[in-house]
Amino acid sequence: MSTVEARAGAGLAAPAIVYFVLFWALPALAALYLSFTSYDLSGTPQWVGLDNYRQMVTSDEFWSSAWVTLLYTVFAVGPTIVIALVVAVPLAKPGRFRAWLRGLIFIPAVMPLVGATVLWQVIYSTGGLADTIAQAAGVGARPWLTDSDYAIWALLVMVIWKYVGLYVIIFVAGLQALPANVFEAAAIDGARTLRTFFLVTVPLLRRTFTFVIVVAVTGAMQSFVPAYLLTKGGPVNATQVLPLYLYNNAFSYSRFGYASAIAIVLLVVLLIFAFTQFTLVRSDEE
Amino acid sequence: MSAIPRRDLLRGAALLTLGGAVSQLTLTGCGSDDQPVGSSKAGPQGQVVVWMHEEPANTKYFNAKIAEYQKKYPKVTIKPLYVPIANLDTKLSTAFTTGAPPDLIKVGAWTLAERASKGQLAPLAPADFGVGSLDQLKSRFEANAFAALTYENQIYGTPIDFNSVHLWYRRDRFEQAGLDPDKPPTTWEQIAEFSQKLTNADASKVGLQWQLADNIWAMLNFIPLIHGLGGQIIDESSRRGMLNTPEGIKALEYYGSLGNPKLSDPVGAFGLFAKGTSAMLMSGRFTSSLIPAINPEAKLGKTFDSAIVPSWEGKEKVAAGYSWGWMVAKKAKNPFTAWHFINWLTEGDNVDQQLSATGLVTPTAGWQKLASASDKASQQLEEQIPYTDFGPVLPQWTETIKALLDSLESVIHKKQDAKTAATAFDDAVGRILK
Repeated sequence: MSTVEARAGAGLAAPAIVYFVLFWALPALAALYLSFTSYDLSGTPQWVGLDNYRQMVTSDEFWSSAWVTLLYTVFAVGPTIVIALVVAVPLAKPGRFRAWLRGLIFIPAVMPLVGATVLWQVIYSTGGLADTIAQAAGVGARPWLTDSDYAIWALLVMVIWKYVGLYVIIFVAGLQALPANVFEAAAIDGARTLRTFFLVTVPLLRRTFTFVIVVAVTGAMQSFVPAYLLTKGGPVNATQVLPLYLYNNAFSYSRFGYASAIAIVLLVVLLIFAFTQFTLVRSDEE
Repeated sequence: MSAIPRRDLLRGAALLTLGGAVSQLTLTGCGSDDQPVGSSKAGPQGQVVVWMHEEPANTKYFNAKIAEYQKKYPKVTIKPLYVPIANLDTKLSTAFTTGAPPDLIKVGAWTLAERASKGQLAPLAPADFGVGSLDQLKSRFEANAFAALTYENQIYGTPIDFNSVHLWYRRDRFEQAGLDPDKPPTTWEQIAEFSQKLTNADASKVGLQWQLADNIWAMLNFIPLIHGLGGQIIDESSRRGMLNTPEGIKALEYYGSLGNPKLSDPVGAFGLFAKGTSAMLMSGRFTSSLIPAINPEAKLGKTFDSAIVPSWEGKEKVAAGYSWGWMVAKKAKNPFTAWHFINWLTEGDNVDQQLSATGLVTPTAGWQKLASASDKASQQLEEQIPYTDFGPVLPQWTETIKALLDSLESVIHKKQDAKTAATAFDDAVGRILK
């Protein structure tokens, strides 16, 4: 490759490189540095070595938040993907009515989260719609947001409702891109609907699944707005996910060093997850 | 691919640096303020940037007052920025960190110690108010008005939205329970007794309902209980938590015995009270207008009413209070004009107009005699001011009071007994204030 080509390549890559360095690498390095300091947004950060990490592993609140985050991630991502796929399969077929339904199911995803949260606060309030449905089902009214045993599940229902439409659209796009001749061959071979779904559709959707799982898991592990708006992390910290714990430490308690340490741990966990996921997919493809 | 020559890389880096420097200079130029800055000699002039939280009634009133002030002092431009309340502290922290804070801010006094300890606020200067000493300035306000605005013997702000929490009760619920609505409870023991009579079998209707899940309200509801018994939440001199004491544990047990924490409403305890689900609430003067706004059928004096804060039998009364404050940034470009504007807001009819238009009290001396302060709640607020306690003044206030909220929630949700929750709080304070 000539020098001219190399220069042109470097020039074309420069905007991306500058963006990556300025808005990703430098902040990440700054966060890494801050995680070894005590810093309250005034004066200069004081080097404290591994103190923040030591404090983190001995903090009950950190582990409680980590556990809530794990619950939140597993039970937000799993049901969302299953529901989205089940809904997407019939909606992926052509038809004006289906196109209209696809639009309808996407509405919660485009609703502002603040508005959606107010709606769910009304639904979950004492004597609200959730109580009415529970009573009709013979379960009886429940303290959806005010009991630590229910609050996390109430939060998850809202989150699944909010985001399932987004994944339906992604799955619909994935399903519509699958080659029709494979399904025709399966039909000629006498494969029934369920068999075709599990043995043909699901394996062919592998790339879509990878994308959806990585996006959904990273989104869930970084998500703090739904918990912040719906329950403020309560009651008794039952819905305090790790990013909310991080946010509180950074912006409510001005403990930026400790918050940065939490951010670094979260980043490492997410990188390990994403790396593992992509490695598994690559080895599967090979 | 051939390597990029080092000279080209260096040239590129130099260009980038130059570009950055140029844009930096350009930005600096944009931010520079060539307008003269006010002083006691030159009088108020120049621009004052004000940040405060958004609240429709107050925003309308404040904009009108800005226009009035600018008409009177044409050399001044007041530039307000109304920020959603949940974002105000975060936005301010960022502005202070980057060294570009607004001149004037209106924030909760409970955040003052943190900002003052970081050197972000300017202490009050008597000259900016046209007086010779702080005592002269203080004499223009109620005796306790600066308590929440003082940190390490320095005053950092002037009070606005000054409140002392008292008892609100539903007259209709009292009547239904056979209680005399003209004789509200005056002691915490009576509150417990009344609450029992006002609570139905499945606790879907209750007597007193605490304001849960919120730092400031947790503190405001709890202070009269523990301080009224002679205890305290924190010993500020030794920086220790003080809940694991007989007074602390009794106050926690009492707190955990009232109300139903599982009741839920989108507007929290205010909504439960407005709908009559709860019959009693500890809250501030603003409750008189808030409750009809939530439930138009609730009428002050007919459906609900207010009374002085209860005390423990045989003990002194203690009320909890809070104040917001006007504060000026240490790096303010125009501190004199900022204080001049705030001073003007407390002059003439402005305090009366503000109370009437927004319900916010600026506790200037004699405010209770104003036409708009003739209501019962204002008079009760005035009566409570001398024994109102504003809670601990700590740079770590938010984290400390969150630890208090955790313990209160643990007790009321029956996750921990009072003794365990008290110990957990004291341990947490030990870690926070070490």
